[in-house]
Amino acid sequence: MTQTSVVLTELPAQLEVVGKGVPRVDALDKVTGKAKYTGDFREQGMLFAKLVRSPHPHANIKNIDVSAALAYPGVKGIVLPEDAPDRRMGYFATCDRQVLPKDGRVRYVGEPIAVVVATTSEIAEEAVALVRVDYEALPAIFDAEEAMSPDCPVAIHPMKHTYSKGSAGGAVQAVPEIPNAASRFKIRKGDVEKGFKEADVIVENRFTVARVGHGRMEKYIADAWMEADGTLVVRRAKKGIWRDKDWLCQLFGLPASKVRVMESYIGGDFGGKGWVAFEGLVALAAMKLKRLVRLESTREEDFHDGTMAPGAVMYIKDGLKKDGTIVARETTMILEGGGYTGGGSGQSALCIHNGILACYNIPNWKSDGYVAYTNNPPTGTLRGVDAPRGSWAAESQMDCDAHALGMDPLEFRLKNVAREGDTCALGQVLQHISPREAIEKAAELIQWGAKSEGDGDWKRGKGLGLANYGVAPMAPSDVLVKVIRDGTIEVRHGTDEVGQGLNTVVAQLAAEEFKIKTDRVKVIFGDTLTAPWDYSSSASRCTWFTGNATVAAARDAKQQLFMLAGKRMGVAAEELDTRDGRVFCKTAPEKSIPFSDLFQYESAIGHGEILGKGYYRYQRQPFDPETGQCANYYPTYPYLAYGVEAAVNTRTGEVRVLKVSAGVDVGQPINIKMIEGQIEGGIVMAIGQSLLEEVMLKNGVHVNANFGTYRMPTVMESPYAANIKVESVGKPDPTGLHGGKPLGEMVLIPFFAALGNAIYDATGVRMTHSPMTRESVFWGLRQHANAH
Amino acid sequence: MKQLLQLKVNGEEYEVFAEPWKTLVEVLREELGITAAKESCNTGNCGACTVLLDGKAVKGCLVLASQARGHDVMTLEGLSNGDGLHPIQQAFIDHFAVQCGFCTSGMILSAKALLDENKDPTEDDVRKAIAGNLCRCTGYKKIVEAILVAAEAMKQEA
Amino acid sequence: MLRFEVLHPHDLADAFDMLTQHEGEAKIIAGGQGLMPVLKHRQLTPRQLVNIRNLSDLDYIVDGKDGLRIGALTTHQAVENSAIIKKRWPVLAEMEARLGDIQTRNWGTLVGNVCQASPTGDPAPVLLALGACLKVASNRGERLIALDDFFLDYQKTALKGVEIALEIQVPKQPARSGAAYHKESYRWTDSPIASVAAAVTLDERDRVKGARIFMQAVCPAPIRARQAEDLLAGQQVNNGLLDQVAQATAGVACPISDVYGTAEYKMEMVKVITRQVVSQAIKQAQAA
Repeated sequence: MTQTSVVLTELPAQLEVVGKGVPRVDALDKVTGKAKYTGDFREQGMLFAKLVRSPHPHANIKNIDVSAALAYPGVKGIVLPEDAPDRRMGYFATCDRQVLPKDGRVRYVGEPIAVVVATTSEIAEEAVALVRVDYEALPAIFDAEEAMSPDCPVAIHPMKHTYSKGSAGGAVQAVPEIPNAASRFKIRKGDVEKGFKEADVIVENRFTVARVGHGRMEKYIADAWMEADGTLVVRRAKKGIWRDKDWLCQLFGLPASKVRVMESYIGGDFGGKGWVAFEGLVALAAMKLKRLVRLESTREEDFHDGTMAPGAVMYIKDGLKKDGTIVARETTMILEGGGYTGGGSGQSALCIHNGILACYNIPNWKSDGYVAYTNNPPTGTLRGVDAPRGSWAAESQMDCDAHALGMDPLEFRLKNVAREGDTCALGQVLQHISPREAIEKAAELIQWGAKSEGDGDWKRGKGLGLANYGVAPMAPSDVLVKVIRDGTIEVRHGTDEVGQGLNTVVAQLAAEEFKIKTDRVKVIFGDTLTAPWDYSSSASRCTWFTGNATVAAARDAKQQLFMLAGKRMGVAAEELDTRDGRVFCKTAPEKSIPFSDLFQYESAIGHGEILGKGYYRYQRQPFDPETGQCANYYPTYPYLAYGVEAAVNTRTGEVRVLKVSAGVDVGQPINIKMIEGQIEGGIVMAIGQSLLEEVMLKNGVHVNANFGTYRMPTVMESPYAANIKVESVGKPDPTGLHGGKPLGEMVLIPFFAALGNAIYDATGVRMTHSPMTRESVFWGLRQHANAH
Repeated sequence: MKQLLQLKVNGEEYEVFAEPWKTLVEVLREELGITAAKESCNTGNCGACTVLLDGKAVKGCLVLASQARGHDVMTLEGLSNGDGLHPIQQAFIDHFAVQCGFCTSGMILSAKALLDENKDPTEDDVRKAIAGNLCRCTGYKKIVEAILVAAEAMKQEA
Repeated sequence: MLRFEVLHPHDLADAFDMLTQHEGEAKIIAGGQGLMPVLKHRQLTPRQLVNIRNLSDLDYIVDGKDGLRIGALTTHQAVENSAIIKKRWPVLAEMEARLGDIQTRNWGTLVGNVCQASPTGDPAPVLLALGACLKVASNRGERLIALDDFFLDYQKTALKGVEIALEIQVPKQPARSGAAYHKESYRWTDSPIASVAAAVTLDERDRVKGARIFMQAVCPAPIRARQAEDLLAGQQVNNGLLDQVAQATAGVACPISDVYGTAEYKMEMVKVITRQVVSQAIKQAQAA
């Protein structure tokens, strides 16, 4: 067997399955209720765990008394910090989080301190109330800018200089000189001071954004048990079986052969199902009690233990020429990271710039991104990893720039939009990009320029936003492709079906290689015993990474198939191709043989099955931490532009999103219907996060950790079906798989500012805080009316 | 503590022991292994646990299991008896109305309750019928489209 | 979930006995759409629930000679879709159509919602504006409570622990009457940020003969805007008067700042909604 890595450049016209709106391979399971999620499994005699949590935002733990809880009938055991490993975990930037606070300190309200295990979840919950913890309360800090002040009296992680970087590396830097700074990322391109001197107009603004949550429908749930040979098995509603396996091995010092991680279909992720803290807790309980233990979050706990997106304060300064050129941009962005940032927000010092750094050609650029520790709940990755935050500031700023120059916001964007061969803020040369086409398409579909009429108390306006995104080349992918004798092709991958449609994408890619329909492809995933190594469905990487490895594996399998068939048919392997479960001779298609015959023939001499193996990785060149410059930081740059038409009620401040248009550059789309689905879903999630949703914190307590007052849009707050229009405008990227580029996380990014710009267009009120709640719009209108 | 409970689910009679405080969705999932209805918010705000009681959509997390006695309970598993798919299921597949699938059971049952009462729904009717069912993946567009297509298909069938 | 026992009475007499036996510890559950979340959040911790959802004879809508009677087990959905209510008390049907979502309306009951006395319940201000009464009973007999006297404080009502509400009675409205209800909410299905119901009766010269205005979600319990009603009395309504009425209504609101918004914003919404519902009610009365 060979290891291969391929890049494909077939023209779309030659493709039969890829590029088409092929039905999802998991849809039948899901519409019949047969699809299994982790919580659908239930074993006789399993135990149930509940967590003892800190009521303090910042405190030292003096003593934990579990005697009353242990004596409570039905309680089987309690896991304490002393049972937990010292090791701190984290991905990417900072390893700052212990499974249980073994360092004796809690840093947010809700931080787990102990795990109570009992025969029923009711008993476990009642026993949690019997655990007596003595605390020494410490002063707490909740505001990012206060926390970042050099003379802040509170140091939340006094030992942070000893923390290591996450397993996936990470481009951000530690900041030893600022006590509560978790991480920093710098961009230095050109000479920003010189740029500002050359500028005719300077525009400066401050934007802020609140924390938001994932709101995935399926909560965290995990089961753990020990097998007879001492293997730890964890089955959980989370992504990244191999990443978790690595983490669990590191945490508990277990050899690779003694940890097995499983998952099923995942009921939504949006970046929140990657963090390992939960598995560590249930694994500890299973190892201590030697029983099958289930740990399931309540909806409230799901917010705490998740990796909600941090709030941010963003300063942005642009230098403009009278002709509309942007000559310099300077940004300072501070994220409010909470008690721990190991869930991924440590990386946000970089990622907050990810949606804006390749949109426009700006020769002089200086950025400083910081993540600050506070005593709010921890933060981490959420769809776009804070790129939506940076874009909220920068694309709002673009409209402020345009208005300062008296230009139309579309004209101003087109004047500066990145062109083929321009360099982005990271210094990478941009190729095979279509941002201009994306923004033009969004503008055309929203009928930019045609002033929309108001209606009574409702005023209407339109706004635009543009974003780029980077698919993160974090780790390689392996895929196995089996040929089954009935002509079925089996694809085994080690990443996740979180709802994004990865199983359909790999089925399409394999089907394309074998020229069969996707219903002849079987996709196997979700168990480290049976699936090959992969990283996780993260950073919009799967189509690119797992996809490339799938094609490589399929080609490897085909090669083996042709060797067998060639011998049987008396034809050289190069002469052969395959279609509909048969191998045929390219020059004489009537000469063909079904797969089943090949196996009958060959099994006699030892070939029972055909197993192709594929592999893909991306080699990033070193980058300079002082300037952030890197020649190939991201393998490709997709783009997305939104046009939004909104109505604002001038009496109540209520905002309704009436129409949304999208121009998307994902190169050659692999499955256009799933691209539409991702974008339509992203639009409605963004409507929620920009108008309705907000993690409300009061002295570190999350006061709306439920779906009643954490307000995700229902269909009633979403535009009518015909009013969401999506068109693909990209040209195939020859470095991409079948010319495609990734999409998943980009779908939130440019919406926030596009909506803010529409509100401005309707009312003249510039919103600088997201979410633009009806109340904040109401007071904005009041202020505006008083000022004019 | 557990008490005997009689339930009729998808046309079948069940006798099951459950604690009195258990909700309908808990008993379906934990005691009967009927798992298509999902538990997500547990406060009646998301609709993932929607089941039909005598043909009407209710939230399984806000109905005590013992209150369902004497009523016909239908879950997604009971929608297509026989080989074929119900037109709503088929439309959900054909029109990409499914992504992660966690809301799908509730969505399809809310749609069924609507289409059984209203053969010719407008888009507004569909929106109001699924306003109690949150979906975080699709943005609802393809779900609404699928339900309208299913309505047409059911009219043709009738 | 909190642990509790569920009792299933065979008939009302049985239910009365159970409540008497467990006085102070038992709660009635009908549709439970308001009660179940409260139990899950441990805001109430009853030892027993007396399930009346499956009792017969309490699910009815009767348009009698004195007015409308709605049984304790009549669902929101039945009220919303009742032809007679749509025709004679349209404000009730309209209010019900905006209450929560279909699932809630299918299983939850109107009377149960009133008894739950949530400070954000939609039906209370409408029923108050219409001058409704609640018929309640225990094994000692029946009594009639005017809704005016029913809501005492935050989730506190005049219903005694041993009593069951049997029906809501809405009196016939005089000639030239109209009523309107409106809520402002974040999402379509959400509880109100603020809501106001108004019922007015006009004389033959369009002067206000009587008005009842009630607010919800801006006080621990629904609250009446008497001063605003007095401003309307005997007047023909114009824009200036509407402003005064809105101002006076907001003047008695006592909202708190919470996850639904600041107190100041809620006051502003009361004004906006009051203007809207009073003028709607007047238009309806003129058309009647």
